[in-house]
Amino acid sequence: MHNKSFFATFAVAFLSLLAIANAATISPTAQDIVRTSDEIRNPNPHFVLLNTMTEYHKGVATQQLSLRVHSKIDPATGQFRNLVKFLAPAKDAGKALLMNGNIMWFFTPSSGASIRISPQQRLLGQASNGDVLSVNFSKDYNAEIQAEEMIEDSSHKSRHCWHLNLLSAAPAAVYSRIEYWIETGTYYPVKARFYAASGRILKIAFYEGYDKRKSGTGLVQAIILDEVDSSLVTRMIFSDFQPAEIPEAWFQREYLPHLPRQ
Amino acid sequence: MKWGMAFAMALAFSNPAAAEDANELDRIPSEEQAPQNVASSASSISANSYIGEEMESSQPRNTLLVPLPGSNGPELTNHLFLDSTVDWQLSAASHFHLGDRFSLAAQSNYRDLDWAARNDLKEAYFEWSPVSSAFLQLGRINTKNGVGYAFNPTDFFKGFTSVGLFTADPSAQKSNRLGAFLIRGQDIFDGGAISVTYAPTLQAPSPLTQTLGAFNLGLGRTNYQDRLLLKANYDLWDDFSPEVLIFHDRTGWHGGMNLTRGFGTQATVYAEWAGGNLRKEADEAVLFGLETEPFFPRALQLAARNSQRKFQNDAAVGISYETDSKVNIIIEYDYHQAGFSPDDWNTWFSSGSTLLDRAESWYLRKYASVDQQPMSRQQIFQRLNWDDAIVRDLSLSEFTLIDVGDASLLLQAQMDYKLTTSLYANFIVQSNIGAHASNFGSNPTAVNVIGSVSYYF
Repeated sequence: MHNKSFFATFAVAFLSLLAIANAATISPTAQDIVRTSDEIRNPNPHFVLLNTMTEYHKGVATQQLSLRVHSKIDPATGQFRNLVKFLAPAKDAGKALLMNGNIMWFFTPSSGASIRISPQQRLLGQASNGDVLSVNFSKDYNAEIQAEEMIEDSSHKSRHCWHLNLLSAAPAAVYSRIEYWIETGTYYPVKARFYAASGRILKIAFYEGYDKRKSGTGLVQAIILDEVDSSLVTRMIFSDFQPAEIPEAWFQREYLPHLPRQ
Repeated sequence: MKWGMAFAMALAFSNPAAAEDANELDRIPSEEQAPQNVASSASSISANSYIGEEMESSQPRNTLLVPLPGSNGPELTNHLFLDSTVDWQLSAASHFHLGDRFSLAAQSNYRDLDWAARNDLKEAYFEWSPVSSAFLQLGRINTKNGVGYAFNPTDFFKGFTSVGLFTADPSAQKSNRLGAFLIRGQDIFDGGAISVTYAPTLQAPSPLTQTLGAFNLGLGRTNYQDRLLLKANYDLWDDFSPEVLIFHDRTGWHGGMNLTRGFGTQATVYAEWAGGNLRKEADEAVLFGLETEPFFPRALQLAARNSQRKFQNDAAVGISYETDSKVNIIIEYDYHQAGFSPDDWNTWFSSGSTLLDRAESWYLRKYASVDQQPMSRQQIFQRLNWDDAIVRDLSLSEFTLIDVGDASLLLQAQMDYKLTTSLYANFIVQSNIGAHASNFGSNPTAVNVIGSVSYYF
């Protein structure tokens, strides 16, 4: 009887240890979490969408941009290449931007010419915030989990998140460090803080709303707080999402004047 | 409730991270404050237009070593214009593009007033794309090449194309010019692009001193010679995609190349080169004058003396750097071998002593200006642009063009302000500074002040 009880206790303890060890092996790594989250922000390797961007100054809407964005993953780097066509307002309509890693060309219809620009160059106010969304963080940053904690999202809802610290690991990384909050379970990005090499915080992004598409879940809205000029906020709404075959030739600078108008 | 808020605030202040989070969330504006969606419609025709009103006051230089053949008094000039572009999607594979400017110009020397209406058909072409990355274009097209900011040696179609400009800003010159009637085929592929352009002769060259009629298409400026351009670029390796150009016009064959490369996330360097067997710019001007102007008898001797051709190089190298504070800085060195050397300048200043020589001498400078070539052999261009300077939506910029040979300079300060999303204001002060016997110091205009407003719709 005594022996029977001992073996039962031993078996339970052994199975518990096995379960704990198994749980430890299947819990995702920080890099896995970021990779899964990247796929949720951008579920398709190539797509086209409409980005309606509203700029707020001291809480008042001052300008709205309408951009048609074609994105496609570069198989060599795993990063998205973006083609941005400005649809509105009238002053900017027809302008186009090619972003291929750190190689960027900007086309203006009035001059009919494309000029090479640096990633740092700001284009039309907050339009440069577009990079916050189509970047695959897992490719250019090394991630580590700081903590699991409750934070409020942009709608003041509490969410249980992994709090990750991302450090740049590739020359193409625009930011030196990123603090990143990803909801446990859903892997939805909730919030990010972007830092310059000096340690200065540059911008804060709140990711909001995810819709189900044929190819998976996709981001609907993002809100960017400018930390260089704290009076500026940008709200980006993504719509008209469509998976699209985009020919490689489109990512040549010579293609910018020929981008579809709509 | 008050106690609840007080408790929450106390909790926030006792926890700096929570206070930071609360502060961030408080800055998010409500969606109700967003203006209406401005996405453009899916119509087959899209049009963009703006009305511009520009006023310029120019102050002449009092002492000129080579006086102008005519008067050089203070002037007030006014431009009112409508600039429009229309794109008409004819089918999935074809579209028509139109770019036009209609302007009313009034000029006063504070005694007499002249005014003129003018229409400039800048572009009008049909484009057909049989496959998604191949294009055939036919019509009047602005063909621009080059990666430089102040000087583009490979911009072979730039000469004689400027449209009603007040400012000497190189970027404004690129935006306001006539296209040439041409046919172009282009193939863009994974890794590069290749194109061939042919612009035929449609009319004899127009005299530079002639004012074109209100609805004259300007074919004597844009299509007075046969031109052929072959252009190709290819991605050889990461961030190295040279563009090679081969061009032919009535002066012969020319070659060219464009290169750019990024350094980090803030700097871009660029280089542009072109070369060909050419006469000096002044000799080309004299020959053009002999061909088109009735007042050039003595120039025959000059042309005979200086008509030898030799290989001439043009180059522009520069760097563009963007700071963390939205300030963009450009430094560029330009070399135009066919331009004036210091000895040529000495000859120019000593020759302008008779009435006839004055006309010829100033004709040389006018030719270089409308041909969009630097007058001198070497110059340095520096530009500084600061967006959202001091207050939001205010841009401050300045550029300096320095003649390396005589240290004279053209200086421009500019202020741009967005009044509303459709209305923009602009103010420019431009000054030619230097010794009397220098490139910019001998410019007839000492100071220009320009104010403008533009309304987009």
